[in-house]
Order: sequence, then structure tokens, then C-alpha cells
Amino acid sequence: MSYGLKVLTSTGAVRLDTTDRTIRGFATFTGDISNGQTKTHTLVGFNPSDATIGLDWSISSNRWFSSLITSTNQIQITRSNDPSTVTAQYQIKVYRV
Amino acid sequence: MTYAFKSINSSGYTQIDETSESFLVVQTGTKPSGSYYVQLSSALPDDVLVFARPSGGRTSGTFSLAGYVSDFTTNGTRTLRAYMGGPVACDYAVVKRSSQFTASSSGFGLEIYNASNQLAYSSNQPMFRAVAARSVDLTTSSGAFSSAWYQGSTGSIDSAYVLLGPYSTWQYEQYSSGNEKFYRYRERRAFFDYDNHTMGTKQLNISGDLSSSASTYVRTNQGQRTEIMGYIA
Repeated sequence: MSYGLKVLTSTGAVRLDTTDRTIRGFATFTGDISNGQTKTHTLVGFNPSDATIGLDWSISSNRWFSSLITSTNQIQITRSNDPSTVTAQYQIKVYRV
Repeated sequence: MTYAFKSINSSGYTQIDETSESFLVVQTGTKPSGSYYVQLSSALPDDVLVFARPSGGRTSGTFSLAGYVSDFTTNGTRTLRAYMGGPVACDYAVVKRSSQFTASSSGFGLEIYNASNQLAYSSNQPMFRAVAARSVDLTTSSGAFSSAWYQGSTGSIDSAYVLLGPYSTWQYEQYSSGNEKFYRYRERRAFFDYDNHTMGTKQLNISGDLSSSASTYVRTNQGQRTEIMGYIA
């Protein structure tokens, strides 16, 4: 027998079913980054091998000049080889799923 | 006193727990045909997530969807946009953390609070019901493509949404061929296969000419990302 939480709306539609996974907040990091810089964020409980942790990140400059390195309790964003000298903004969103 | 509610389903996934906040739907809409993005309110928090699908979903055929969220501030003005599906009409849903919603003072339903007295879940708001997720690692040699990383049953992806973010340029290259120079964008696309009830990630290349003096290089957007499909309900 499957178990979990099932929630119905007042019209009987399924809002949450027992087989569903939900997205829950974990942490968000934002900041500015120049070409040639690396920014490091510590996040206790973060494990890149944990399949129940989700990760989304973006940068305001061309994304192919940026990369993300993840390790236990740590997330690093690097911007390199970008011909633009404009400071970029980034967001790293970590969530549980 | 510590108090809370925790729901774990039979697959072992936590649905609601005492330490985290659910993401609930704050806005839905349809990006019209011919537009490439929707402008979202600058008052939204910086950790919103956006999901999209071809408008109305599909029951047959295939659809490749590109999309990501762009969020930047220039001269004090924040611009928050969700790009999706090129010029094709797409439905979208924006979710934010439950603590940013106001608890109901009347009516029926289920509301759960965490130990900080913040709203951790509310049945009064629609939410994203995640059906499948996969973590991918984009490297210089792999865009983590898969024609079908989720296999559903008949109708199971007809109304499905995917998380915007992992579906954009993975690699950009300037290269020479003969005496000429070219550029190539290697793009990632969510691949809805309605006929076979699968969700995948496919590659699309966009190429063009460069001047003969252009330098040659390959640059890769490396790192971990998560792909998610599910329903808004």
C-alpha cells in the first residue's frame, strides 16, 4: 500500500498526492562577480550527491563564461575568459525535492 | 517546545517537514505567441522558481522547450524575466516560499507552521507537484542529454511542466573550418514526447559565420543543475 499525504481542493481536485514530491526551500545565494573571480558559499547540509537536493543558478553575463563547482557543504561559482568587463550578478538557488 | 508535521511518502520522499518551506504558486499565466519572455514583478523574491509548458499542454507529437529566468538590477531597477519556448505560446507558473504567503483566517483546508511560526504549507495555494527530477552535471564533454529520462504512462506528461533554468546554452564555440570561421551554440532543450509519454533533454545547435579574424575557443557552462517535471495543481 502506498502512503503519504493527499490533499484535495474543495472541488475535489488533487492538490497533492501521495506519490508526489514537493519543492521546499533550502538556501539562496546572490552576489556580484567580475571576470576572473570565484565566489564561495558555505551551506551546511549540502551534498552534491544527494538526489533530493535541487540546484538552479543563473548569471547576468553570457553563461558559458561561468561554471559552478559543488562539494560537501560548499558551492563555488567562477567567471573566467569573459571578454566583458561589466560586473555580473548571479543567483544560486538550492532547494529540496 | 518543538512541534511540526512531517509527511514522507512510500517512495521515501519528504513531502512536508518541520524545517523547510514549501514552494507555492504565486502567479500563473500564458506567454503569448510571438513573445519570447514574460516580465515578472520586480517585487517577487529572488528565489522564485518558474515552470513552463507549451500552452495548454499536448496529447500527441513532440515539443522542445528552451527556457531560463533572467534576474538582474541595473541602476537600481530590477528586471525579472522568464524566457520560454521561443516565440511559441507557453503556460507558466511562478512559485515562491510559503512563508511569503499570508495565512488564512477562515475557511477550510490544511495549513502547517514551522517552529518559527512561519507558514510551511498551505492547501489554499496551488503548488508544483513534482513527478520526476534528475541532477545533471554539465562538463566540457557532456551536456547530459537523454532522449527520455522520464518514462510515464498514457497521458502522464500531457499537462506537465518543467522547471526553467537548465534549458539554455550549455556550450559556445568559435571554430575554423577550411579558411573560414564559425560560431556554434550548443543548446539544451526539454523534450516533451507526448506520443511516447516521455520527458527528455535534447541538444540543438545554432551555427553561423564569423569574420576570418575571430579567435577560436570553446567555453562551457559547467556545473550541476536539476531538471524537474511535474504538474501545477
